[in-house]
Amino acid sequence: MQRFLFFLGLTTLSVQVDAQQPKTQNIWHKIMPNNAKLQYAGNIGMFSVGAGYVSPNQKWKGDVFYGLVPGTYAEKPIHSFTLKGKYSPINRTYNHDIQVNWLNAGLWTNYSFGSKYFLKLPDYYDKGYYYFPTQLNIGAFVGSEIRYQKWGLYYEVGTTEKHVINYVKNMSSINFHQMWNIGIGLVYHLK
Amino acid sequence: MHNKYIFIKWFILFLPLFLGSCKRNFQYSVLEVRPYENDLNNKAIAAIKELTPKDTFSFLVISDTQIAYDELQDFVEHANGLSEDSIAFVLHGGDYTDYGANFEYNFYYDEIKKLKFPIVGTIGNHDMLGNGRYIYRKFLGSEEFTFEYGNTAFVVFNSNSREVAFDGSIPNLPWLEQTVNSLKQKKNIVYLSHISPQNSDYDQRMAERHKNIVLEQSNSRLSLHGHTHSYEYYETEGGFKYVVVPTILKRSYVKVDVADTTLTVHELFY
Repeated sequence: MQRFLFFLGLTTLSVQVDAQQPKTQNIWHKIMPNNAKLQYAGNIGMFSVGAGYVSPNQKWKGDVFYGLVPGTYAEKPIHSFTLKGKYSPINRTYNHDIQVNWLNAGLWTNYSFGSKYFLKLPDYYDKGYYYFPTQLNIGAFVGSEIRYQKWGLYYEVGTTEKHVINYVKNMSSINFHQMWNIGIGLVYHLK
Repeated sequence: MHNKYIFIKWFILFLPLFLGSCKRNFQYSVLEVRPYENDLNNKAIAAIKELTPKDTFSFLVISDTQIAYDELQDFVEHANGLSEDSIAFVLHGGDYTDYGANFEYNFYYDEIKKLKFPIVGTIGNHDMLGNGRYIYRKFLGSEEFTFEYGNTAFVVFNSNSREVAFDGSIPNLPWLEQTVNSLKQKKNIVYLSHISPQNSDYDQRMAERHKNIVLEQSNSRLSLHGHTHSYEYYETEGGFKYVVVPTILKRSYVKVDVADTTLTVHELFY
């Protein structure tokens, strides 16, 4: 985790360097993320901070997040790492300042740190005793994003594989909308 | 000319629409601890205390309701059709959830809150996954407790030894011994724990001592369990009964009739 924060610090530092030498296309500018993000909820943490990359044609996006659920909503604070990928086929620019990604559809996978969660079944269980790891969760979502100059806002309506299994097996008692929940986020565009 | 603001307005208008359409909108993690209710077992026990105690009564037992909310919903409807004169309360044999996840405890609550009888339960092995054990303590309460109805005492405890890697802490036999010793004046003792002492997920090094604690009490009548998902019935020579309650997924439950010191067990379907 410390290494990850150190890396984030380095990238931030490089942004300042680039600002002083805008024409220099050095290695830092190339690996620098396109944006920095802060997300609320969405099953990847109460608050998550992340960095995002965008493909040259603007249709493919990838994010990495560090998420935190504070101790108020867990036995101990939950620290987690998330990889998110999304496809946004409908992008429109209005005036010069406003861009809207009308559809972001994507998947994420979230890994929670902590010894009481497992990825591989501990050896005091027989093989296949539990068919799922508690440490890893997979999610899917759809949403939209709007950009105004350097700033952006987005929402995602998402679910996880565990919610889907519960819903599919109980379509009469669980309402369709109960499977879904929301994440909202703030974006600062770096380039 | 104010085109650019229109889209910001649209966006702001869009959000509450989604917020309104989803229940429990903002989930922080599958592992989060935010149960919808708290202390359900103690609330049910308080309701049982309000009932007029009888020497002849019946109670129902369900178990392993994980990922079976449709079947649970139907059980609630079925049980609500039964008379309060014939049934005193309901017991739950554990495994409320499959992943020990907060949202599953809440799905359970959505159904069980409609049940007209008080329901008291024990913790299952699945309920201990992730932060499930911590959620359980908030949502339902203590893992070890007793309650009484008339002359019958109910002893509820955690028997999911494998979840703690057989470290000797589960089941809590010193507590069990002390508890049953304090219940000698009762006509009947009924035990409720998720995994039966005969199962390999129960710490077999503790099974003999458990058996002795229970069978040394002449008022011990019945040991109720879940976990294997199938109905099992076994009676010792002294007439002490071990019963495994089937999963609610099979649309089946157990009814126990108590007549003074005689307990009769029925496997029922709905």
